[in-house]
This record gives sequence, structure tokens and C-alpha cells, in this order.
Amino acid sequence: MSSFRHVCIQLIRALLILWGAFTVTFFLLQMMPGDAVMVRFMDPELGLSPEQIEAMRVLYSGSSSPVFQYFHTILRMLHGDFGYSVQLGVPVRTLIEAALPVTLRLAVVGFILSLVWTLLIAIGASLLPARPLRQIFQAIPGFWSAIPLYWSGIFIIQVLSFKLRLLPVVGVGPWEGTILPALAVSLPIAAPQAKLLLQQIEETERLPFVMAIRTKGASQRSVFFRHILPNSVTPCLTMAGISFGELIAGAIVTETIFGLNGLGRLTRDAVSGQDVAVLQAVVMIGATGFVAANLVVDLLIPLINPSLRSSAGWKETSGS
Amino acid sequence: MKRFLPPGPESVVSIGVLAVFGLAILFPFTLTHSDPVTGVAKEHLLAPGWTHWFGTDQLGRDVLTRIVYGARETLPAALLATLTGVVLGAFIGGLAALSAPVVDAALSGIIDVLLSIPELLLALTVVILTGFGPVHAAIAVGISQTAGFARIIRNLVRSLRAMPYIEAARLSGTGFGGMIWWHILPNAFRPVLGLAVLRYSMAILSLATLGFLGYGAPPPTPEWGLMIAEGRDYLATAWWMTTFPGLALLTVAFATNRLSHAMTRTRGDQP
Repeated sequence: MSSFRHVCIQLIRALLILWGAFTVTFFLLQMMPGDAVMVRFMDPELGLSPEQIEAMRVLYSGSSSPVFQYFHTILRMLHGDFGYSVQLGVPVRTLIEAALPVTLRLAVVGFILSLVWTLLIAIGASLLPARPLRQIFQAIPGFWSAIPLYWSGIFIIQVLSFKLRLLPVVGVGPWEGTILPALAVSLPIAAPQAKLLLQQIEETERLPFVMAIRTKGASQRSVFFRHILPNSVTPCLTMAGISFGELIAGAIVTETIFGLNGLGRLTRDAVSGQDVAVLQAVVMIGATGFVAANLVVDLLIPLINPSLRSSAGWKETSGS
Repeated sequence: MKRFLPPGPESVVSIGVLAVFGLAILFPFTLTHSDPVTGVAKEHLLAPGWTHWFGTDQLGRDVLTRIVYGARETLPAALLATLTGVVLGAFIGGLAALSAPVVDAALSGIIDVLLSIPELLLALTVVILTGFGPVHAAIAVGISQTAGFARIIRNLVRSLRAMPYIEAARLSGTGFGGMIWWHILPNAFRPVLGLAVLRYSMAILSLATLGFLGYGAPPPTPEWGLMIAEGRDYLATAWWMTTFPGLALLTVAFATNRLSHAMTRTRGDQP
């Protein structure tokens, strides 16, 4: 009964957050000085009169009051209609349908890779025989979080594709084309996860039961895999949920570098063209990804760790 | 000083690295003698060598010189960004922690909403609202960092407020303002400072990202992110144009990251 209630509360909370994200971005974008109609149609070469431009504006956004537009937009979005892109003159939904698979593929592969890195770093930092080697692995998360994403992407193209000719960047299938960008995006995503996991492992190491198992003669490796790791992984899941939303934002940079036509590219074009409808849709997708990932994690954690079954409310998550 | 920064090789090296960048901001001409904006046309795209340690770009400008002058573009702007984030975050977070539960719940809800929008997307939304340019980009990054600060400061102040000695101070007649000034602020200062230093390293990277995407300073400016973006066109022939500005970013961000690590490591009172 209580777990059903927990699920309901989390669901309502997720929906409230989404509604809030919509409201914040809607009014932020409404405050914009110019607008997309202006950016696209003010060009003197088009030879449009001010009246015609005004007519365009009515066609695209309706010059009704912001409050009316706000409710109108919510209702439209609930029906899956995201309005029209002023820059391209097509429904935003068509654009998103074309771009989303590219970015989702990138996000999923990048996310899985980041989990692999996190695990490898934790294993290296805990189990390697020499202390200096372990210390190097412990410094990796801080180092990776300092790497500029676009720079590592360029570096990967340069070394793996130009120099070593391992994988071409252009003229490949969707999955082969995803590997290199996913590799680039996985490093900064893995960094905060690995940092948190290392902290947790350090804390778990100090718990009395670990000491007890050690004194009974269990090997370092079996203690690590059977006891320390399972007991340290839960907070990292929360972090992983947060990272998934960041992955979609990271796509803006990665897709620019690798020339992919996904959500990131769409966002960039929308920012330069002040294309409000597209931006609003992209922000909602980013927020939905974040909220959904967090919801899944919230619901998974009690299954993994029964001691956390009471609803904890606000969890502490410290950025990086 | 020791209160904030435990001595050790990590702190010394980080401070040393940051001091070099500080020198580049204050007195760039002590580190280089050429001009960052106008180049020598016939010396374009030279590989790194004795006269040009980091090579030259497509207009014959010395890459090292541009990196030195670039410190002035990114690092103070990142400071402005983090200050914006800390001040707004401390205001919202402190207000939430010290107000009635209803206000706290409302502000916490707003913080949750802002956290759900990925930072880069939020920064981009603010940038198109305020217009492109270095100062606007810095404020946008600061606003995108606000929610993170606010949440942590709220939790920190709440946990401080529940401490027995605060209760004792309140019972012995310390007023509300006095409690904040004498008890909450001094105890919150150190953990928030450690966090701010970490966020500063992230602000550097975010600002360079905005510069890379073209929303920061306009082209002749030697901004690191912009330099990497310009170097992309010469990726196959002039690797130095993208590699060295990236290394500069990596070095300063990593040094700041380690500094924050050294500041937060030894204490047990992490928020």
C-alpha cells in the first residue's frame, strides 16, 4: 500500500516539475526582445511590407494575450502538437521526429559507455595491486570533468579517425556513426558518476561488516564484488538519472562536431533563428528525459536497497 | 589561510598553475610580446617551433599569445558567472531554509523545476533572451548554476539551523539577524566556498562551450572556445590550433578542480 502511494506521489511530482519547466521556459521565451518572425522576414530582399509581416506573426503565433497563448500552447502540446517552426515553415513535430532517434541513439550508447567507464574506474581504483596505480585511477574523475566536451570530440576525430583510420566519421551507417560521438560524450558524463561511486566505496570500506568479512579471510576481490560494490551503487543511480538529462544537452556540442542532424543541431539552429516553438519543444524533451530518468531511478532504488523503502524526500546531490 | 586550504602538494601545484593564469590576466605582456589580434600574414599556419612555441593560426597570429590574452576573456567572466550563481543561490536557498514551511516548499519546487532543465539548455535560453556577448554569456551561465547552489545552500542552512548550539544561541536571546550573521554565515562559508571553487571550474568550461557555439565574444577576440571553433576548419593540417587552447582550458579547469578537492577533502562537515 505504501509503495503504491510512493509511486503515485513520485508521478505527481514528476508531472508538476514538467509543468513548471514548461511555464518557466514559456515566459522566458515570451520576454524575448525580437521574435522569429522578425528575424526571418525583416530581410529587405524579401520585400515584405510591415503589414505582411504582421500577418505572418498572426499566422504563426496569434497576437493574442500571453496568458491565452500559454493555455493554448499547453493544450496543443498535450495533443502532441508542438506548433510550427518559423524558420523552416514545417511543423515542429516533423523536425523532432526526424531528429530524436539520432540523439536518443547517441544518448543511450553514451550512457552505457559511461557506466562501463564508471565501473572500470572503480575497479581500477580499488583492486589494482600498486598504490600509485590506484591513485591515478582515483584522479581520473576530476581529470575527465575538466575536459571540454567539444575539444575531446575534436581530438577523437583527429586521432581515431584521421590518424589511425579506425572508424570513418562521414558516410557511415547510423550505428557506426554513433560510436565516436558517444565515446566523446561518455567521458564527461562518467566523471561525476565515478567520483560519487569512489566516495561511496570509501565510506562502505569503513563499515564494520566489511571489516568482519575481511577478518574471516575473504579475498580483497570477493569482498569488493560481493559486498562493497553492491552497497555503494545506490546513490550513483540517482546521479545517473541526472546525467541522462545532461546527455541531451551535451548533444548540442557533440552533434555540431560530428555533423549529426539530431536534437542538438536543431537547438543550435533554433537559437540562432530565435525559433521559440522549436526551443520550447527541445527544452520539454530535455526536462522529460531528466524527469523520466529520475522517476525510474526513484522507483528502482527501493527494489535494490530495501533499507531505503521509506520515502526520503529531498536527496542530496552535489552537482559534480 | 590554513582554515580554508590545508597545505599539501596538491594545493601548492594548483595554486602555482592558477598563479600563472592570474599573471596572464593582469600582465599578459610579461609572458608574450606579440599582438593577439593582428597577425603577420606571411607567417600563417606555422607548426610549433622555436619562434612560435604553439605555432600560428590562419592569419599568422601566434597561438601562445592568443591563449595568454584569452585568459582575460574566460577567467574573469567565469568568476562573474559563479558569483551570480552563488549570490542568487544563497538568496533563494537561504530564504527557503529560513522561511515558513509553505515558502520553503514553494521555493524548493522552483529549484526542482530549474534543476530539471539541463544547464546548457537553460543557459542558451537566457542567452537568446539577453543577446549574445561575453557578459551576457557569463550571466546566463551564472543563472544556469543558481538552482544547484540554491539546493545545496538550503540543505546546509537547514542542517545548521537544527544544530544544538544554534538553538542555544536563540534561547539565550540572539535575534534572527544576529543568528544569521554570527552563527549561520561563518559556518556555511567554508563548505560554500569549496563548492563555489568547483562550480568555477565548471563555469570556465560552460563559458568556453558558449564561446565555441558562437554565443560569446565575436571573432577577433582570442577566446579559448572560439579559438577551438576556428581551428576546426584546419583540423587535418594544423592540429596545434585546436590542441593548445583546449589544453589551456583543461589545465586551468583541472587545477581549479583539484583546489576544490583539497579544500573539501579534510573536513567532515561536507553539506
